[in-house]
Amino acid sequence: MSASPIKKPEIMSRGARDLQLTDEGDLKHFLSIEGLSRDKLVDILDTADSFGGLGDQAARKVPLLRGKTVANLFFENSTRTRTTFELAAKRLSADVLNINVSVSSASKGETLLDTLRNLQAMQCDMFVVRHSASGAAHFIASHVEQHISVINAGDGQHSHPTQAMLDMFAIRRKKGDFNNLKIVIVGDIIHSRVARSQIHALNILGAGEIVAVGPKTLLPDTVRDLGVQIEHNFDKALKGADVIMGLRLQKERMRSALLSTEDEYYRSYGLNENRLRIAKPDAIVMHPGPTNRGVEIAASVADGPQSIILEQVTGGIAVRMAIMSIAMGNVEKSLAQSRA
Amino acid sequence: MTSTTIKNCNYLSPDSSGFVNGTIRIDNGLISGTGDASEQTAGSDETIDANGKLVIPGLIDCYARLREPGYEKSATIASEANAAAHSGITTIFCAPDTDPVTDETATVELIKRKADAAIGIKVLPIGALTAGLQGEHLGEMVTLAEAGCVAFCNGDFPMHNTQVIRRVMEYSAGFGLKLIIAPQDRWLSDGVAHEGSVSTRLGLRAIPAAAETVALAQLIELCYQTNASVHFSRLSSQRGVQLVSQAKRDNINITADTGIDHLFLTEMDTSDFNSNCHTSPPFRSQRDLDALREGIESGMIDAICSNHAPHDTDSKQTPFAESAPGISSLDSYLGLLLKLASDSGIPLSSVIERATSGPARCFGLKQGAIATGAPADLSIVDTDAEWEFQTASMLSDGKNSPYEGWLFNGELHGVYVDGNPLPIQRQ
Repeated sequence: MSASPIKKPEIMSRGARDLQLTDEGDLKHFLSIEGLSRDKLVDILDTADSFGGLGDQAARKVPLLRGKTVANLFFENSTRTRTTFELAAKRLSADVLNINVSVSSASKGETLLDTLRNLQAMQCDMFVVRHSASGAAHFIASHVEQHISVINAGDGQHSHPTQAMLDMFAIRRKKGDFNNLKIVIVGDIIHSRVARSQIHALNILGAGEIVAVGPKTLLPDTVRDLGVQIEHNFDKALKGADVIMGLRLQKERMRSALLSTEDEYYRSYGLNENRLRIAKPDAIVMHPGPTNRGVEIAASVADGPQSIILEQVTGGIAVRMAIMSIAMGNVEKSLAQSRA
Repeated sequence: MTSTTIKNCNYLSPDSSGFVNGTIRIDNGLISGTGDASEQTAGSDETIDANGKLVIPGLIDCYARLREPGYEKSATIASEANAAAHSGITTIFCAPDTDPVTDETATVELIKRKADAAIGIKVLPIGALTAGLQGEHLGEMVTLAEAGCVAFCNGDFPMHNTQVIRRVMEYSAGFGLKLIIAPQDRWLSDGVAHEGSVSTRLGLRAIPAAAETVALAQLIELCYQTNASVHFSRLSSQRGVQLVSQAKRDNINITADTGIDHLFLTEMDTSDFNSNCHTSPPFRSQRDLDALREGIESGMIDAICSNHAPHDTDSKQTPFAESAPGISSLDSYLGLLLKLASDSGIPLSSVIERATSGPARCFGLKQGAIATGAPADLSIVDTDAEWEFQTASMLSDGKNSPYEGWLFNGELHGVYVDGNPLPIQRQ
């Protein structure tokens, strides 16, 4: 029998691509980097640049989200991400609701949809969602009313698009153009939503060379399909690197025997000063935090002159302001058009 | 006693020669003759003119979950038997993972009573292989077989203790009982999606094909040692088909099926987190799907089951990984069978055999062929009629189907069980 293609009727799939765009093709939800155009990513970075000064003058606000209510829906614990989202929303003049769902409704047996409907009834305009299940933000976006925008603050091992955008923001500020850069991403790639989003963003922005590094248990061959080179030898990968992006070793996600010991991991993939010398002299070191010092990165490197880890955090506020204001603006535009 | 003839039909010949134009005579619930019209219609009480339509044996679904007793909020025997009958299924095997599980005679009796009160198809319980499906102590297989269990399995709870597996094989072999095992390594199958580029992209916990093949290799070796008669159910991978084929060539006493949905859907269908495509085993690659279709064509895979898994709405209205696995597949079963023949080039007669005489042979059933002396379980099908699948029109209580909007062929113009017509509503 010859392998015949399966004929299927045309079904409108609610795929990631359509789901996060309005009928006019504008960004309405921010769920995943995958499938977005270069222009959209550059627009986010440019908008973030325009907010850039605000980070230094914490008191200054812009009124872009005045009268809007942003609900931070965190089904999974997070301090850093939730705080920067909260700050970003406040600087956009929004009202902010922080809802730690893991200790409220979920434990009472309320379904995710029930929780959403209740929040919708409270007239929220934007949900910032973190959830331990991959696809949770897509699920939520496909069930909310038209006037609500959903921002993915991390879903399972799938996507963490705002983190990737703030990483891109930091790289662009330090290095300018992406075209000639060699970028090395090291660590627990297969379990990392950050790595997936970074890889998509770097590819869309035209990065010269992207190399993923890690042991085979954390970096299986299928990762190549995301559009990266795969290397299991860190030293080899570091040669000529402009940007080194570390990842947090997600110990809680290790369901089985993926690594031997922290010591051995550090020996193979820890970023120390000797290793850093293999990269270009002006290479920058990044990490989404929190870092496991002495496991994935040496303290002297994390705090050293080439590290821009803290600048990433600062930039995160401007980038999240940009994403929230763009998405909310497009939702309003789209609603106005559908009313007209 | 009544006699009926169905004339002017294209019936599936029992000798694998495909479809034959002629007449079928039914006496006292059995097929008493086939062939030329004039011989068969003589003295018949009732004559039905099939107008050249197809007549196929009633379909035999050798793995379905009917949820009753215990999980009636998902489905009942009456609702699912009705859905099955409207797909031309006249014999359905029901899985033992109900509450209580089918590990004692009382549950078998209850299932039979409920089935008798339903539309009238044959509901054959599968008994529990181990007590309470706990995977530790042998189930009362002999008693359950006498009560009417057609075979024995451990439901959706893969057994992992190889000593227990060996013992159930030895025990069942001594009594000539048939086992149904879905090969799944307990540790490797800890995930929600096929290990491949789609699960990597979506960040879903992955199940490699080795979850199936590692278990299969182990089970085949135990079959060889114990001479147990095992039916491997719901194969999903290319390597799985290869291992089963090799075991058959080695004359090991095994048979196999695959779920109907695995002949149409792949990992690509999960790429938008569609929880209706979350199944166990997971949909794998196009290469795996092609191998399964080849196995169906060659007969290395003996049967196509529905792997029916009806769920209430809440079980699927959650993010993919948290949703309950399985598809409510009875409503689409006949449509997909006919589509398999038209899409793949596998002869329709072969496809129908994998859903009739194939499973009948695996489990030693008398029905499943339009042959003299066989029970008159059959359907008249208009294969030209087109229809669109709509979830809202499903008869199963489980509306968890990924086929919304698919176009199917095939309309039933009559379903008979032991010669008696079932009350089928035409859409």
